[in-house]
Amino acid sequence: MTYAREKRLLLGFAALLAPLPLPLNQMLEWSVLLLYEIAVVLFLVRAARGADAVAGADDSGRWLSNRALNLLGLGYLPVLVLDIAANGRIQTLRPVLHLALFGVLAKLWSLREEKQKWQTWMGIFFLFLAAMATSVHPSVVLYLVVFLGLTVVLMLRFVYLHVLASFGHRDASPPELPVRRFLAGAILATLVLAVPLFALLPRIRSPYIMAAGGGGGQLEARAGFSDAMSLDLIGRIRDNREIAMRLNFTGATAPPGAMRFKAATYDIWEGRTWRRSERARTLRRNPKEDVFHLAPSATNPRSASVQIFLEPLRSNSLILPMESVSVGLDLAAIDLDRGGAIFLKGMPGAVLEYRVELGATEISLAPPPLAPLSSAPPLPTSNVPAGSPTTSAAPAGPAPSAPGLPSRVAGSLVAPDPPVENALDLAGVTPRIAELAAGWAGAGTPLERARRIERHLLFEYGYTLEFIGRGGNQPIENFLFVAKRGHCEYFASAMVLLLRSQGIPARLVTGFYGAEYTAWERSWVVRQSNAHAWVEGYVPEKGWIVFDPTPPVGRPSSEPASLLGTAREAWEFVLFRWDRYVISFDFYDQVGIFFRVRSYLDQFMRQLFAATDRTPKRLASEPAPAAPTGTGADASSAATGRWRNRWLWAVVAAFVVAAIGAALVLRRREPWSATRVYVRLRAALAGSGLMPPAWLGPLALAEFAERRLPEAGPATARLIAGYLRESFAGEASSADGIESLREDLAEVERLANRALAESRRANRRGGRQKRKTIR
Amino acid sequence: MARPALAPTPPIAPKTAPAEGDVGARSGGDAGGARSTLRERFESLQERRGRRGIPEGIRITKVGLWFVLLTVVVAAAATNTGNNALYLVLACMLALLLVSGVVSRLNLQRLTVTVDSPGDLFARRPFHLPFTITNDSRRWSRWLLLFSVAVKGPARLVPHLPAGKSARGHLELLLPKRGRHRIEFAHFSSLFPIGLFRKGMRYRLGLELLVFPELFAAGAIEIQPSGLAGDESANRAGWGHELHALRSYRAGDDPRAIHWKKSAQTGALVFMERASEESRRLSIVFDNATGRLADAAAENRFEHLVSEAATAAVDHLARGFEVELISREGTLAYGTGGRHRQAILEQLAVIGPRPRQRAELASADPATRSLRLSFKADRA
Repeated sequence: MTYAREKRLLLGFAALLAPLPLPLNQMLEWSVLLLYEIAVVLFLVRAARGADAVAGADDSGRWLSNRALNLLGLGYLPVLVLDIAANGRIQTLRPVLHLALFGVLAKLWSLREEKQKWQTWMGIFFLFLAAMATSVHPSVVLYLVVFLGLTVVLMLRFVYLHVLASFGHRDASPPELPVRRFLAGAILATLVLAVPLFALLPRIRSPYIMAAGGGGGQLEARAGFSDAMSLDLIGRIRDNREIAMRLNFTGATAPPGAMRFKAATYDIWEGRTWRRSERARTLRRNPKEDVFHLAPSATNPRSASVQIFLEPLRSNSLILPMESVSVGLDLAAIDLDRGGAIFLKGMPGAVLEYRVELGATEISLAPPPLAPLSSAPPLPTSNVPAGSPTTSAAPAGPAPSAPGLPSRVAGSLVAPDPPVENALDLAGVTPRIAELAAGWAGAGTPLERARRIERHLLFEYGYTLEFIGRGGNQPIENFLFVAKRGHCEYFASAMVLLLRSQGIPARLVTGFYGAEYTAWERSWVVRQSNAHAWVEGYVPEKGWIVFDPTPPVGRPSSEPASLLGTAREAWEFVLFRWDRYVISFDFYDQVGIFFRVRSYLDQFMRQLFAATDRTPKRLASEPAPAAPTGTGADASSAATGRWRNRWLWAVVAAFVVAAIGAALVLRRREPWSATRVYVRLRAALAGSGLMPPAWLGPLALAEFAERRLPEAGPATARLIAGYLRESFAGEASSADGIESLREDLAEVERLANRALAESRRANRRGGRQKRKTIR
Repeated sequence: MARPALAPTPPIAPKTAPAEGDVGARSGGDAGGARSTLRERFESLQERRGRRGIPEGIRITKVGLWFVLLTVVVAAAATNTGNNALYLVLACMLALLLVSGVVSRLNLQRLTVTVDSPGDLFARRPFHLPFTITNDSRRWSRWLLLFSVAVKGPARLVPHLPAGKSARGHLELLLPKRGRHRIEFAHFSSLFPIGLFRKGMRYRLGLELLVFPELFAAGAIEIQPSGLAGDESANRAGWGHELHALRSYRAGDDPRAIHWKKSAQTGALVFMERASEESRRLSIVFDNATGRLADAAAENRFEHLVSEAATAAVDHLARGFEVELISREGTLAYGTGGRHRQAILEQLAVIGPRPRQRAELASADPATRSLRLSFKADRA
């Protein structure tokens, strides 16, 4: 294979790989990619066959003439103009990508000079950048690794061939370069090094995510939690095991498995769907505490807190546990609807993180109804044609037992005169429903009557996820009298209408019920399948309280443990961390890392110095630990602390020893030779105080040692002879010879050290004698 | 370790050896001894550093420059958009830069160079310098090594050097001037791994080469013939008195040298060759008392004279002459053979201009052929 052919093949493979994720990111049509890939494959086939197989083709020359290139360019020009006209206003990147693909192809087919190969590589790199910048899926890491590997291989081969060519090797097959192990190591090292670099690179702007479909492609709508509320929505969501929220609890709280998370409230029945409650008020953030106070802490004392990571949903609701007392969120203001649910100005595009303080009990933030309540059930007097809002009949009149209560026609889009209590809207309440409700409720307080209705639904109706949207314009009546089974939305909708028919204000509430603990996440997660609907009814005794008429079997529950479930959890673990720590990683995360590292260091230093009194100045101002009381537990704790400190010291000592050992090993890496032994000999003699002059040659040094250190004379002579043989006669010492020389060196060093010690002793004796003489 | 195989440099001995007592005094730990120890340690450090390799700087290649520019572009795009996927690419590019830099450095470390004797070296004549490069690393190979003995000199490529293995080769060199040349370092450079940088590393070689003067074509030198015939016949045909050989008469021979008696005995004309009585000695008198050489032209003339002397000496010694070299440095008496040739060439290799002197140089034997090389004569 000629050098040119190998380079073409490498470039072809890179060109083949680079744009692959673009259609997945909906930045490119699959048909365009297919055409491009076919052209690249043709190029690769031609390059692989080489000049020998292609008649008249020159392997090193260009395969497309200038004229052909010009014609192609002219042919592409109108396509480019049309592309810009059609897509340019929607998405600029798409025409640019088309142009880049065309440019890469044109360059590939007209390669001739080395410079053009690098230009082609730049085009391929641009495609890679576009693919990376528009990807949000974790699998893009695999793409990155493969492309990185291909880049390193390509550049290495280019360099190798370039160096060979500069030494005159041109067309011969290049010698094999065994670099597989190196390549694996280099790519691994690059990736390992890239992780801290990624974390440390300065972030100035908040993370920008070009989501899939940013190129103007169509997104498939997935069944998931949304603000739209129809009777069959949650039934479809139940199959969706995606995570909607992650919860990290701190402190004692209600079992998360039975916790309710309120998202939105609905109070106007429009035949088959519910309309969301209107905005009631706006909450401002408390500037001192940086939180929104939802309820006075006196009524619901704080007991725990939870950090919530809310995944992007098709909803602008801020989903909160029913026990919420305050919420910490980086916003100036939030809105509450009439039902006490919180919503934001827009739908979050990325994971939303907020912290919520929890009280002991569930509370509703909804204000009391606008009108007084009556204990007597109102009886509807007209049959309201639900489900046909535009053709609805005359509005239902006020209930006889509650003459002051306003009411409205189902589906009426014209707002009646304020104030109107939508929670008592009788749209959808037919005489049959009202009659049924009256029969179930019986007499008593509103709470007793509401509980009776709830019990009837709970125990006399069945739960199913099957589609039961039958029933024409009266789906709730159909549910109550015909089907007698359904899912939570049917139960909740039916109960709302039943309660309202009895003059009890009620709303439909959507959100999530229950959470499940995942070992992978080490936190609680709420899945889309936990979506649920229930009822909030107002009873004068207790205010707004929760009724959940859905049979327990139909309430969301955690999935039984299975291999598939574990695998899903693992993937969700990866996905969440990818979204949280890669895609939405920002400056505040960097600050968090910094503080965490500092905290670890502080903790380490504190523990390190705890055993001794040498407390650093920085910690001196901290309160002193309590004096031991002498109890067994305290003594045990103190002993544990001492042991921990000893362990810390042991770790530090081990680290120091390891460092010294590594240094010694590194030093020992230098191979022993007679010359090295000679250098050590001189150092040993100098260190012993004999101080041989620097100008003393080897033979003179031997004589010097013989005179000054007679017992080391023979060993010194052997060492120097070895050195002379190696350095001046070119005789390399054998391994045994080197070993023998090192033994001699050790002997000389031992004798030199002994001489040094004796000399010092003699000096001390001489000093004492001198002092005596002076006295 | 770079160990010179040619002309090793022995430890330099002092001109006057100190008395034994001095040494003893130093061993007591005075300042001189401390200085000596420090110096020794410094030398030892230098030696170790030389053996390990001294970095010779880093040069970014054109590909590397483009790579850095692309990195800057990606950095600008990532910072401007806050797109973390671009930050990922940027981190990988920076990591690749770092890995490339570290690997290219490691690739040049732990090498040993041994240079063998290149034989007689003459100025301006190419020669081969045999070398052996050993990879002392136990684990990692070395790739794409470019070895040379001068930073910008000719280089040899060692594409792959496995761990613990050696590669042999030779460098083709040419030294333009005679004299002592010291090749202090062996230089290695490499574009490995991906050609972003060209890194260099030098290893102490300490190789000393003695380069003899440039040799010219022998015929270009005019030798002054001997004034008198020698008293010893040379072992070749000539016009002397003694008989050299008898052979058949060939057309063109001088009829006066026909040996008539032998011709009568044999019946064919026998020619009587006489031995040459011309002297087979050459005295090269090179007056190097030229004073300071004023300019480059004078230096060139001086070098030319040295080369003429060397050429004449080598040529005549090859032809069996006894050659004598007389210069202001001293006299190398008549001699023949390889050792004498070496001695003359060594002296001519290092000979330099001396202060002007009035006294003329003269050969010990004025009857022999002589080559008088004088700066004045040459200029005249």
